[in-house]
Amino acid sequence: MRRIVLIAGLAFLYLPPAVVALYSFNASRLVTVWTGVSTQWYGELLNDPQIMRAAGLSLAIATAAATLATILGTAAGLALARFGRFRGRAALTGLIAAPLVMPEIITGLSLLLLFVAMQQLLGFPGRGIGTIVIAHATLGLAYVTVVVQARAAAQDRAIEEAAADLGAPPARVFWAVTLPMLRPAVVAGWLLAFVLSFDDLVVASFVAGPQSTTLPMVVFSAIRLGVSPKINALATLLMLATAVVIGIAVLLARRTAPGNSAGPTAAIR
Amino acid sequence: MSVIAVDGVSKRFGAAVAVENVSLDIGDGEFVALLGPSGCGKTTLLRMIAGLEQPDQGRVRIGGVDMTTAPPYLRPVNMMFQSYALFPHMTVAENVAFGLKHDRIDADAQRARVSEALALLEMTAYADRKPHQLSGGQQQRVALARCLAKRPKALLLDEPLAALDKGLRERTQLELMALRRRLGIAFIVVTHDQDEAMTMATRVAIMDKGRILQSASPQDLYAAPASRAVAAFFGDVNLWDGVVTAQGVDCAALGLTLPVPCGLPAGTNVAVVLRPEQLDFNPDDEIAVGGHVEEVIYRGAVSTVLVRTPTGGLIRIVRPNLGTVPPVGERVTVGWRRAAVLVLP
Repeated sequence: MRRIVLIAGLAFLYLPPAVVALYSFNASRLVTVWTGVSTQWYGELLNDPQIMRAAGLSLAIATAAATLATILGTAAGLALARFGRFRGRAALTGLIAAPLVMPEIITGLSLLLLFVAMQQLLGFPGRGIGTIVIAHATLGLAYVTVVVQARAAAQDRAIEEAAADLGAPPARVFWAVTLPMLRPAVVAGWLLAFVLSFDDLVVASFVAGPQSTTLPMVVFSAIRLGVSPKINALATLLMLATAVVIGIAVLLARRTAPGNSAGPTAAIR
Repeated sequence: MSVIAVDGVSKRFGAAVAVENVSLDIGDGEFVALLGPSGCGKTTLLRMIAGLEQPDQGRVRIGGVDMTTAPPYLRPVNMMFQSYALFPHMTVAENVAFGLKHDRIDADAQRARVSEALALLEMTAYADRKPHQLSGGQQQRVALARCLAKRPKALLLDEPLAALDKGLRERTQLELMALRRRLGIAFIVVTHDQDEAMTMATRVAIMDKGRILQSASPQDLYAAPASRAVAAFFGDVNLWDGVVTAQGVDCAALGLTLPVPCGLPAGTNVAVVLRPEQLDFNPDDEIAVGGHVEEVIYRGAVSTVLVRTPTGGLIRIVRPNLGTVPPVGERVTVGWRRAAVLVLP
């Protein structure tokens, strides 16, 4: 009985993406009719300049957004884990957690309103790659903060005190001891933020400009014109890439907390 | 000259007083133990000497220089943490070398200091290991080497033996004593274990509720405790309530008046203190009390005998196991010399 439920559960989770992956190798132009095995759609995909440009843009945006989110999130995670009860702690916790629970469509809309208002008042920032990076960094920040905070809270404070006691000024304590010890959590946070940005459609649609069409946006507009097998191929590649990145993040998080096989990423699931 | 001079230092955490008006002078080469129950402020005092806490009041001088507000990285003392606090991402050698980067010495001298410190603690063979590949005892040696490579004016040790098992603890006690004698620098150790303090320290400061109750050599603390709390905390003890009378001290638990002069006015409540090894089953001694043996606790070389007096008091007697220990239930007379009685306010 337990076995049947397990298989049913796994099928529920993995059958839809498996079907997409399977049909990406379909020779037929019609998505729902199986005629034979072929890799032609992958070839067409790589030769489609619109999709390749969008992929490059998405990678660039995800890299920039994840890096920005990691810098800010590490600082915030450390502050929450180390500074005790400071003024505004509750506000900071709430603000950082907000993107985790807020519907993406609300986040997207509010950021759009903000950017429009700012552009009218300050003439900056024009909607485009920059605004997408800022929006995605806001989302990723929440994840990085949670991962780093969990790691920092579990760390023995005496280790940093020992570094100071041995003569290291605060800056050296941070670069030589605090950061290297947080490294697995920081890298895991960066990877999560990267995937989040790379996959995002809703928020990007709100804040994007005319020249900044990301990969998910291309996929979405293509699907509206009818599902092409090319999109199946693209989806398969995206799933593969995402799975690898998430896998690395989970492995790193696990190494972060020995004895706790779930690791800090469990906290954000 | 004192290496460390703590002068009237107080520290509060919110409403809780951790350390209150503590003064302590520590001389060159002294081995001082801060002894007290958990929460008595001993670790806070140590952390204020290291610079990891700032006192609310008072001054801390190290090597004659006022360092009350100096950050930890500018103080010429080093601390070994209870958890050892080794850097997990560095090898043993890198851990030991870490503190030398800020001493203005060249790379060759640094390497020499690292090897010297590792050799001193017999950890040379482990130089390239990571801390998690070492046993608890070995990690402690690395932590010690890391401190000593800095050649501190004083070494601070926070519960250094708490994480070790019994055999290793005794060996480490002896090694710390030998190390201190060899290096000639002051050691300050925080401990809650009176045996540990008695064994290692040349001076013990007994702390309770943020204050130092008494600071003296273990011998003096044992023979002449300044107060009831010190007598109760340091060493095995008989401690009874007494009232001063014209004839001596009236002790209800023993049902007799002890003929000892104490110079206090009649009616004063005092504590009567008798060390258990000063007592014997000798009815002809200067003071004698009858009773029956309630319990005999066998401890190898000695036995602790508990004798119940007719008035309900309990007397602890420690005797060597040389055939003179009475069995449970036997009626005995316990005797002692007048000079063995301590009367404390």
